[in-house]
Amino acid sequence: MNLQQPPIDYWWLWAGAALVPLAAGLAWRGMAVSTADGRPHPVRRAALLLADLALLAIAFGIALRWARIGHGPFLNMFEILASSVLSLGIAWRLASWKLPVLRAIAPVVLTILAVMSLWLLTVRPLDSVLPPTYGMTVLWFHVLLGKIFLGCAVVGTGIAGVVLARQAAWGQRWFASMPGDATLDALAWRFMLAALVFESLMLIAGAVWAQDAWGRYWAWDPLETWAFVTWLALSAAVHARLVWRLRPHAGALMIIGVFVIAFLTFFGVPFVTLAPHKGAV
Amino acid sequence: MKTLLHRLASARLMIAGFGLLAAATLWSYNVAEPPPGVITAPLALLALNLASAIVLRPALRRGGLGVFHLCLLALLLLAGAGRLLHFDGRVELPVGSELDGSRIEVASIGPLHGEGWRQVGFLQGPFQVDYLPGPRRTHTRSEVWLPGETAARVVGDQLPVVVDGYRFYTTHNKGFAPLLTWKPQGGAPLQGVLHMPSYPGHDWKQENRWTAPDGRTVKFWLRIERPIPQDAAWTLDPHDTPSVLIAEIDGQRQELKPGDTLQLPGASLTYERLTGWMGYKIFYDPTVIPMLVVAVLGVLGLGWHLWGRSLRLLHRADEVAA
Repeated sequence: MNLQQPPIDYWWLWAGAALVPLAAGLAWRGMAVSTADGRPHPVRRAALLLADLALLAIAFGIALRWARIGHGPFLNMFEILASSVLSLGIAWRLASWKLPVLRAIAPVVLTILAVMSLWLLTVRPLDSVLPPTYGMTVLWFHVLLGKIFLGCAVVGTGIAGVVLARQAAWGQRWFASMPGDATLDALAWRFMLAALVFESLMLIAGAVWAQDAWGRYWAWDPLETWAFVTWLALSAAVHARLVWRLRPHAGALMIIGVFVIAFLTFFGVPFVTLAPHKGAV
Repeated sequence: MKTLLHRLASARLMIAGFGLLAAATLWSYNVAEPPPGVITAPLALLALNLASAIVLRPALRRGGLGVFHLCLLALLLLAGAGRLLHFDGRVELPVGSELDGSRIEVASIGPLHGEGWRQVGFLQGPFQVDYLPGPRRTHTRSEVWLPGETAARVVGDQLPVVVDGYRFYTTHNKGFAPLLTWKPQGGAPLQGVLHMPSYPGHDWKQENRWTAPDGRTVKFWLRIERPIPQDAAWTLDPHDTPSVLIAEIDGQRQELKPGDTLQLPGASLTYERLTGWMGYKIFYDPTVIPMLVVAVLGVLGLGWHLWGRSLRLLHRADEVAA
């Protein structure tokens, strides 16, 4: 790619990524201000609209890029961040369409997406070449299941963030319209249980792919190791939540802990290895 | 006995097992040669904990949750069995040669695997490897002939040939193999291939040496007469690669093209043609398919268990939102 004249798809991706932090800022502002009749302030709706526009721009950029280079956003950090901002955003918007109460977790979810978007803006944009091992159908399932897993986890984390924020007076005021902590806690754990199912399926699909991509179904490469540690952390947290009577804020801390490990797995591993999987390229 | 079972089935032990396994996983990844059992011990502890919990708690044996936990236990046992029965190896095969056990280099073998790997066989056919500019290796097509079959199978990096449960995958490791005939005066000719270093990984070092039956050492260099394209796609096909073989014996050096013969005192050496060799990775684990079935079944069981619970909760959240 000629960095002097980036293709148009990069501009769409950069524009979308730049809008996400603005949407996050508006979402926080929208929670801080209130209307006289207690209805959601128009700024909150503006934040959601801006978030949707950002996701649309990123989706359009990914589609243009896909058509230009001939494959999906699976390989380098730029591609993984762009596709993850989109998939996590879509997961949250779909969840909040089904459960409107989840619109109010926008400040937390959009802050996570904003961090990723700002990171995306700093990553050197490079076109990638698809290795032959990435041309297998099962890879699609592996990637899709991974996106759904992290999507469920980000919604659970968004709810957990609200529960924790409400430990403070400002949080109680800003998130007063949301259900009680016990209900939010139960809802957050449902998303984490769904995350456990999809992470398990992601690991299975990944093992099927790895068997014929690299001649082994499991080899403890950095991403496999961290994905397994994430599964262990999530399983342990779910069991702890089911076995012991934890208070909502303790459960919320566990959810955030699991999300941090999952986030490091998805986006931290490239710091210790050049490819998402060792030997992938 | 009952107290011991209760202790083994405790939730605290389970959480400790998860923690130990996570720590062992990260530790074993960061040390060159982890002691045996560093992963197995916490896995065995978790298996014991799970088995005890299944025995003591009827809820863990019922419905989807029961399916999930039983499958998880089966998965642990299958993974253990897989380590006892597995085989990992590699082999480099010249075109036109038969695979036999003596060529195979064992990388790792389970204590209960046996000697089956020595009986695996097929005939290596020609191969081609596609490259993108860079060069970046893409698809490999290697033809192999299985005993009793009339058509060749095509093997690739992600398309194995399975022989008696052994899965053979092509690798980046492949190269040229000049076919030579050594003909001593009054003796029977001897034909064989020279195994040159991997190409294009070691394109700058295409050299080898061979000791003739009469004790003389011959040094060889292979010069490929077509440069590797850096900015265009190309296909590596040893049978379609122009080459010159340089042979040095007794201080005499001569360039040979395919078909050329080097006359020596008491013998002749003919460079017949250029062929290649292909490196394969070999994998065997009879528990792979059962593990896949059990793993999918287990997750489906978990999904079944959670589906009803989630629906009830989502309904409650809807009411709150309304």
